[in-house]
Amino acid sequence: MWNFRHVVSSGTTNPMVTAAKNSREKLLGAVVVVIVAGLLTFTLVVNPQLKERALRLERMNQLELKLTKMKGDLLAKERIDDIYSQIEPLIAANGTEQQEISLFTRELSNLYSRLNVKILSVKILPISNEEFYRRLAVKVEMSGHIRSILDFILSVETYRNPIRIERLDLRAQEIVDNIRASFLITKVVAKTETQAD
Amino acid sequence: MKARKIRTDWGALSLAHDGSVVFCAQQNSTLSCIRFDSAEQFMEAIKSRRLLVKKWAVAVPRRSCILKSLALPASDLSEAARMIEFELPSLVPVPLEEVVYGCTVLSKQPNMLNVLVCILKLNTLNQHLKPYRDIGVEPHLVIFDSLAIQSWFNSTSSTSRAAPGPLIGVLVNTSRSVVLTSVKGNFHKGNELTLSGTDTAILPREIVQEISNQLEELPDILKNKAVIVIAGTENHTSQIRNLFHSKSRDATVANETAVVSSPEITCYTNGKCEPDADTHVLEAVVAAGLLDLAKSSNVPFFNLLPQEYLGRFRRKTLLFNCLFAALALLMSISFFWLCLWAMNRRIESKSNRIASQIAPIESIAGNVDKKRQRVRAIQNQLANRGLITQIFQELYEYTPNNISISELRILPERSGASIEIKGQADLLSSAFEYTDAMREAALLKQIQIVNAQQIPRLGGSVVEFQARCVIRDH
Repeated sequence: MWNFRHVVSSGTTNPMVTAAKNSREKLLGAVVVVIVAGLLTFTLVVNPQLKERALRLERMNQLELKLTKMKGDLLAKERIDDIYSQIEPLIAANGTEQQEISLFTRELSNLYSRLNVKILSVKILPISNEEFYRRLAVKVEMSGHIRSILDFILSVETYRNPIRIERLDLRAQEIVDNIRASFLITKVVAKTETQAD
Repeated sequence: MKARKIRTDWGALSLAHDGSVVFCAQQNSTLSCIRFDSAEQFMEAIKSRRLLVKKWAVAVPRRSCILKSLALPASDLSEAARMIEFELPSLVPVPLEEVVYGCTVLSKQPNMLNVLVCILKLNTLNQHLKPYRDIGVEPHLVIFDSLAIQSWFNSTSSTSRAAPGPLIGVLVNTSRSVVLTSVKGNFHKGNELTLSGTDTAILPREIVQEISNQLEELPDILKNKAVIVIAGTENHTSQIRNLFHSKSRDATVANETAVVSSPEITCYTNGKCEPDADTHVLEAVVAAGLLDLAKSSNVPFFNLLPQEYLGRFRRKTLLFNCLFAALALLMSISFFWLCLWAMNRRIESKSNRIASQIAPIESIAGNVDKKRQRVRAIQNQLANRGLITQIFQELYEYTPNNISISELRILPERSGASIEIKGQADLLSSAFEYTDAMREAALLKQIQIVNAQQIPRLGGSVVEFQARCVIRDH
């Protein structure tokens, strides 16, 4: 076989070894450049679009859900209007939060004041504000004869307004038939249009 | 009618003395050679893209090279090639920067390599390449012509020969010019390649005499193994063959002879080139031989082109490939980005469409939702009203007299309640009988004693118990 080569001057180091090293370094450099370019492209070009896509998809799904719910609401509109017209007096708003709390405690006071019980404490708990109504909560502790306590429970459960005993603790006392009772009582009232907004 | 369009990786080119150009390329393993009447015609074919060739192979005359034989203590050709760099000053009186060289193995001995060095002046090389460059061809492979001819003879006769041996090739064309390749042994083992030139007119008898002379130079052991391969027009080849056979009958040694057909040449404009096609057989054979060498894995060793030129070409190719790849990548990324953008636009437009459907009903539906939430709140508030009173009723009715309740905890839920009771009984059995006693109750029938223990008291003992009941689906 003929091997024709252009004459090159020889150096002190082995040129083939140097060439192999240079080739490896070039390859490594090219790989690094490709990786960096790929990462930059992904970060600056592709990823923003992907993020945007995720956001828009989420918004679209929320809107779809909202639309479906609204369509469902429209279908049930007449039935809900009927029911609401019946319960509206029960949930009617009577002013600000303070006014509502005042009214609620007054109602409770009316219920237990006529009974032979000793009120140990009345504690107003934080109001739970929902979107269209608020839930008022009062913790009442009292002691007395079991019959009086039961009278109070009966009067709460038969009261015209939607008040409810959420929790009840009874503990016997030293005196026979005397008990100490703790009630967590709640009431739901509607928010006015301005309060709801 | 012009020749069909040719697209190939390697194309070989040979310039004839009459100004015509012979081009050969291999397509679908078929060799096709085209003769162009002039360089202008060839350039027109290139320009009109009827010839699409990636790499060109051309030949330089053998007489331009200086051949030297060297014995070097090298194990392989690459090592020998490096050693030749130091030997060159003693071989040619020319500055090293002005020459290119090549080497080939003549024979191998233990720890010794006999190589044949071919040296060519750079200026001479450039002079030979100038006509090719003038017609727009930048060669990628340059080989001297005798090597190409020898390669063609080797490849065309390899199937007809029984065993590899010394080969003497004779190429005769219509102008009766003769090319005689003679080697002492196989080319790879042989010494110097002899080319008699294209202009010399030698009669068949003289040709046979020359063949005999060549055979005489071979060692005795190889004389009867030599094969004479004759190519050219049928009249001349049969004449020479018959003459050689008649002469061989008189001699003691009978050599194998083979007749091979020379490459078929078509004219670029008229198709078949008749009747003067054979005048360019030599050029076609050189081009065909170049193609054979170009396709071999030893291309870099045959190439006479300076390494710096090849490096420049490689860099140019690499740059082009990089640019092409970068462009393709850029387009792919742009396309992908556009796809995402279009997708986002589509999602956005769908969102807007939904929003436009929501807008007219939002107020009404919002009002309905408000009422629904309030209704649900009141329903929750009024759920299980009277349950606590009913629980007290059942406790009063079903609790046995020997059971006393000290603590009671009720947690009303939407669909029931959870009750915990602590109490005392006089006996342990009475405590557990509490469950049985409540079995008749409507709400508290599921009551369970979860803990009971007897506690000693002054003058006796008392059993303290814990009971639990969960009321569901009231």
